[in-house]
Amino acid sequence: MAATAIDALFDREFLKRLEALSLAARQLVRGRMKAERRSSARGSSVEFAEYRPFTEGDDWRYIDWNAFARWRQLVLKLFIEEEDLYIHFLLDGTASMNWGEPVKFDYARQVVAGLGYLGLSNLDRVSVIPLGSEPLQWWLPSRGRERFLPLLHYLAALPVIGAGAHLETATRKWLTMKPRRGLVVVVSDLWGSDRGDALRAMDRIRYARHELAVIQVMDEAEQTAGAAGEYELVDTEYGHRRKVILDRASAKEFDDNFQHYQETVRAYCRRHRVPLLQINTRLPVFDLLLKSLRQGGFVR
Amino acid sequence: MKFLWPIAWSLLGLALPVILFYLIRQRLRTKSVTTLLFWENLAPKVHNLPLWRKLRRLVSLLLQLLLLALIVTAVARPILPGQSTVASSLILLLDPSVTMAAQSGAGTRWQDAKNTALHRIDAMGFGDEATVILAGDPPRVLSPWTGRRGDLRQVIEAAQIAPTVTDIRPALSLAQNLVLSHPGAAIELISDTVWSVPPDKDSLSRVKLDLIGSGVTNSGITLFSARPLPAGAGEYQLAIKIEQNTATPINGELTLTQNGHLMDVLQVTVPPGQPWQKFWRAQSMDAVVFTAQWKPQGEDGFANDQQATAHLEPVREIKVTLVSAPNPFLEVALGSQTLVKVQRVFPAPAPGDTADLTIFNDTLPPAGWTGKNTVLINPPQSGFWGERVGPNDKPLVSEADKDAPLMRFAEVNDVQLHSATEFKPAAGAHVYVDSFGKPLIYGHWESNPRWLVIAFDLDQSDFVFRTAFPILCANMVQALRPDAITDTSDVPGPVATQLKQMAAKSGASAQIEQPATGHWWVAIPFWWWFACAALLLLLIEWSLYTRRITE
Repeated sequence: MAATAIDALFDREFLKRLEALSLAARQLVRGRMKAERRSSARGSSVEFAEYRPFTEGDDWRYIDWNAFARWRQLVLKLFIEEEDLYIHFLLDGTASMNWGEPVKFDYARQVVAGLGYLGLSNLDRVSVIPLGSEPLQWWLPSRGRERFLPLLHYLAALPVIGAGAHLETATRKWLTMKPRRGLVVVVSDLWGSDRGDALRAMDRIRYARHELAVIQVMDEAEQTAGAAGEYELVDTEYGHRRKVILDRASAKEFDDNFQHYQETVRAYCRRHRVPLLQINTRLPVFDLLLKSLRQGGFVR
Repeated sequence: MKFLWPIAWSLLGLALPVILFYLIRQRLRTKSVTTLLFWENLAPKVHNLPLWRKLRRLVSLLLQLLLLALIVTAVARPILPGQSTVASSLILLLDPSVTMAAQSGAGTRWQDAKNTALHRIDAMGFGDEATVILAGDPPRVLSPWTGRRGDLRQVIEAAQIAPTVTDIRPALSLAQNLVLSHPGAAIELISDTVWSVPPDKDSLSRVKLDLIGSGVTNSGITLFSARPLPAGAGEYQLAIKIEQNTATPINGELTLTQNGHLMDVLQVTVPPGQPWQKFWRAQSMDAVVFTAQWKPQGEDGFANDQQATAHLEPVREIKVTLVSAPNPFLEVALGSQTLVKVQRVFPAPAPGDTADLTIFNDTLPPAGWTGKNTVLINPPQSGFWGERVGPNDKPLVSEADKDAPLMRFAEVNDVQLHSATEFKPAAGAHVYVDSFGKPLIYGHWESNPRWLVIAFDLDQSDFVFRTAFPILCANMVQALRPDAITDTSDVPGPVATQLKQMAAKSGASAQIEQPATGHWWVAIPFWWWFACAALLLLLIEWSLYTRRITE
């Protein structure tokens, strides 16, 4: 069962190690300054972007008079504007995450907290979107390290969403709210309503011109078929039931199916240059965070 | 087929929970998973089971029910037609005679007897009880009345063979008395019928006799003894006797050792029907252990009588106290003997004197005399030795007991006596030398308490000048040696060596039966087969169950 008390989820040791992680992040992301990143927006800076014809209402201070002398046409000189990065954490809160030892949802919340702390420390704007919640109650983009404690309270209070959520539907619902484009980090087990559900959800994020990174959280027991026997399997998320005889052959078939799905996800991410981490909850959270820093793409 | 405990059939009601549990077991275990994505299209599924697999489930249930039926049948204690359904009592007499160590087939008679007893115990029915008696002398009850076959088997397997041939009669008497407390109890005697004393026909009546063993060739030592000789201190005689039970002579080698050193090796031929015997005579002051080893040629079915041991105690010094005025004859006759120490005192022995022999010459022992061995020479008064009647002038020796050890080689017929005293000997006294009804030497010198009266004055006779005098003194002293008793080896004896079975002539009314010699599986209780079949079914069912979910 997922924890709901903040002390149980984020203890003092966790917070202490986050600070150390923040220092490590500065060394790993070498040379970057605060809020330094490219943006599609144009503004004032020292880095030239392009020319644009002058139109009425434009700030005449940006007219390039040298260009006017050469071309006899008023043009504006545009520069790449530096602005805050938006980092959206899409936290899978469906029933399938409420499973395992430790509970995958707890693990995922700790991952989000850790990455969120790094983002806030970097003066990025961090938001958390619990996929599957109805209505969508997300953590609006916030900036600054002082927002970290409210973030923890928010994460600790997050419930596991009821059964029947579709990843694609939930993602689409969030995208209809037109969030600012930025980095979207999906923290999920990627178990959807079907084998293409998670991929379609990622497609929608990419189509919305967000940068995408994926952390797939799994429990070790999910990766094997388990002991032989006759079972009636119950899907904790959708409530579907299936009677199976689990023997050596069917266990091998399960393994093949599982590996095939994982390979499909990896191939998708390779194709679209999406950073991907496929981990199980036996890996300590901080090891995962360091891994994400080394691999890149999850924080800036 | 009958059943000793038919109420056990009510246990068939357990079939209901078996079926119930079977149905419960058929319900699938529920297992929660986070997704069914990877479980799709998995084969086989329960609803796709081939028909024969479904049938195997049914076979499994049928096997379980059959298993239950077999167990219940076993618990109901089935008996074969002809077996008694009434509980019975059995008195089992096991003969532990040493002859049961004789060979019988590949084993011994004792093993055969134990096996027969165990088979008899195994054949006990439900409610039967038995007692086991080791029919030695005295008989020993190994197990009181009990129906627990495990206990009975245990005491039978722990029973030990006796060192000698037993007398079966006390055990038979005990068994007859037990029948009084358990009317109808059967007496069964397991024996080779080689007994020291054959029982009479009455005591064998109503006894079922299981005769063990058959005739075997045997020869062995039936006597081996070392006997000190009174001729002199340390002299001894070694005797050995070998017998056999065949109609032809038996050759063999007899080896004798003395204190572990080889003493003699003889090639011996033992004639049929009579013993072969031999004597050795020698002298030794020290302790000696003699061993005899008999190795017959050819087959021999009884080894317990082929070795014997005899002991000879060391000769010890004898202390003699002579209570007398100076008497050189006595002092020399006594003191000249080997390992005899003479001390003369007068007029009375010292208090606490520990002499082996006290001789009062013309004196009386003190009041309350309790000396061990006492010789009174011409006692002046009456006493425990007899009543003084009066003087006996110039008596003539009319008779002497030359067979008595005391008088061996002592010729007293020509002794001239001037005067003597007539005594009326005390009760139990033996007259060694007599003068027409008036004892001259009498007493009790063959066993303790020893005392002897010489009823004449040595000084008034020529007895001290004759050779009979020192011989009498020597016989008198040598008789006191504690090793004067013959040491005989504890061999089984002639009865055992002969191995003559006497059932036919002594137990005419006895029912003589050979023990069951069937196959081993005959002795297994009938219901065991049901239990074994149930176990086999259990294994098959378990195999079916495990294969069903793992193949």
